[in-house]
Amino acid sequence: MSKANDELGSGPRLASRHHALSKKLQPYLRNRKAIVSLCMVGSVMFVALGADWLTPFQYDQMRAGGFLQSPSLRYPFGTDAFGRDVWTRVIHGSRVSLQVAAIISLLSAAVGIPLGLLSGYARGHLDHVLMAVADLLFTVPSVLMALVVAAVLGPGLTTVMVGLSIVYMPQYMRLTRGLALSLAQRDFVLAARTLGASPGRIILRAVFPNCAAPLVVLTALVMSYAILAEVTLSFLGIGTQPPTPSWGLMLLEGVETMYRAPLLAVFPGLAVTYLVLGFNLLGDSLRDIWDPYVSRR
Amino acid sequence: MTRYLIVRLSRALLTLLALSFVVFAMLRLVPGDPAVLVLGPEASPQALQALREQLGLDQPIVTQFAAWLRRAITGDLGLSLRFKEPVMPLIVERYPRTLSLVIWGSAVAISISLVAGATSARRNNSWIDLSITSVALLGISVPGFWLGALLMLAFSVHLGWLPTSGYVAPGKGVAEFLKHLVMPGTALGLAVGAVLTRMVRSSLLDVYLEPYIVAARAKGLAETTLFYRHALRNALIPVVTLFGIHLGYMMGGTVVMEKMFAYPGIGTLILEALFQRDYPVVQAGILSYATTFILINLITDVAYSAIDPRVTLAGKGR
Repeated sequence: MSKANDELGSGPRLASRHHALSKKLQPYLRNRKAIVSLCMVGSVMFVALGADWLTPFQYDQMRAGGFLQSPSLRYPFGTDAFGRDVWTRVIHGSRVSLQVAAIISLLSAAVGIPLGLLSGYARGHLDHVLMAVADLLFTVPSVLMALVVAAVLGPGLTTVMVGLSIVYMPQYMRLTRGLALSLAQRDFVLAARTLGASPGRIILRAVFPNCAAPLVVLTALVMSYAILAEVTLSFLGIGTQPPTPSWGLMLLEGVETMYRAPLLAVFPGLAVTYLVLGFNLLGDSLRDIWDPYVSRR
Repeated sequence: MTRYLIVRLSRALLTLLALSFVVFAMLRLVPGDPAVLVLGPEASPQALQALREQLGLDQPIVTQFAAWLRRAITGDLGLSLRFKEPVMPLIVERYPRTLSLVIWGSAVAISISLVAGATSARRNNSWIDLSITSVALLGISVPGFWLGALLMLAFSVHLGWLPTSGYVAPGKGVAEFLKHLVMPGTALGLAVGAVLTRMVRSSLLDVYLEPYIVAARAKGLAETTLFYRHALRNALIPVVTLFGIHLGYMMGGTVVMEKMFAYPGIGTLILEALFQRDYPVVQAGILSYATTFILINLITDVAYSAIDPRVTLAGKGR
């Protein structure tokens, strides 16, 4: 903000700030995909936060004689093999999915981004070693990594979080490294170095902020991968343990009773697809907005 | 070309070696003493100590790994703690079953992605492009095994055409073998096919912007010739590597698909062994997956250099 503008007082300044904000928001508001995906992800977050108020029962409340009922007014999605309300369990399942995926992307970002910055900015031997490790981790499919971790830690949510964080960490590392490599050659970094800024300061103040947009896109995608992977691992029995309502566990139970109550294997799957589609669309639309080259098509 | 092959092969072997060591070391971190697992909690301390020495558990981990590796090379992957039998025959028996799933799935994924991706790119921004990209986006958002569950609902529960689970060896009837393979294999292929369709499409769209395509179009070349001779061939170069990576990931997908369809392959073997704490089997199973994965990547790399003569060692252009 210029000095002349400052002297005009707070009124116009606020107005101009408001104008700048709405200008910044414009590409997002104009992108239909972005709006739709935000609504999709937002609605699941809303449901997860308000799960206790949106559901008529406890998620682990069993009812004798009410097994495998078809959908009705009282049980909108029917009941499962233990007489539990499926609607309640699907709603509560959103909490597990969102929490696990958020923790996984935070963990893998927290390790991968600093390592990537270091690797890309320092280059040399350190870079070679770190990238060799990342390449090695890259070759292991996520399910297999989780199986190995499950062998060590035993089945459970910790296993899922640790295993999948190891799997997605190299993605953050590679992306950040690539960005840091090219940013390190840019004039403003050179200028900072000429002015005598320390490497730590350059990485934090000049390089990292310019990596933000692609990293946010990656995070949306990692969220979608992590949700899918948690569902898969819970289905395998090495993720969330009963009676916690996880969509993967519900699918497992649904498949077991498929002949008697086919819908039980449908609702949790629809919920997963809805949430993952939301994150995929969000990632796509943010990339469209920030990277006009790709958005042309 | 020979030199390229040798370097690629040794790099693949190194990766395999590193992976084996990581898996080996991680499984040594497992809480609990393998000797106790074998002999049971009531065994005498002397017997436990004797078994530990016999299994080499008192040696440093690198020594243990070297010993394991020496035996593994000769085909001896140790004894299953559960069956008290050698692990190798278990793997050999189940491996072809998992491989047939992967081959079926790959065939589905590759054919779908080539046809759908190419159609979508050639009709860029048309309604058909929009529907293909929408379906593909939906495809990457669906859990692969849930697609399997939906197929099962339709073809087993509703129509009653296909069996929900199990496996029949091709020797005992090819039709039955295929009936048990078609649903898990197709579900596996559909999930990966959606990812690959998006890649084929965007690669083709990139190529369509290249000057040589514009030039070919300007000289009046027929669209079909242009597409097959110039666009498709060049678009496939980056796609082949991605195909390799994703077909490798398909190996991971077989675990869940085998569980879904109670298909007795390597995936279900690993899962059962995991819950029974049968670590030699877990280790051997995971390594058989990793080997296949690395082999697929090796084959794609070689295929890549065959399609694109510019590729030489370390990806440097000539």
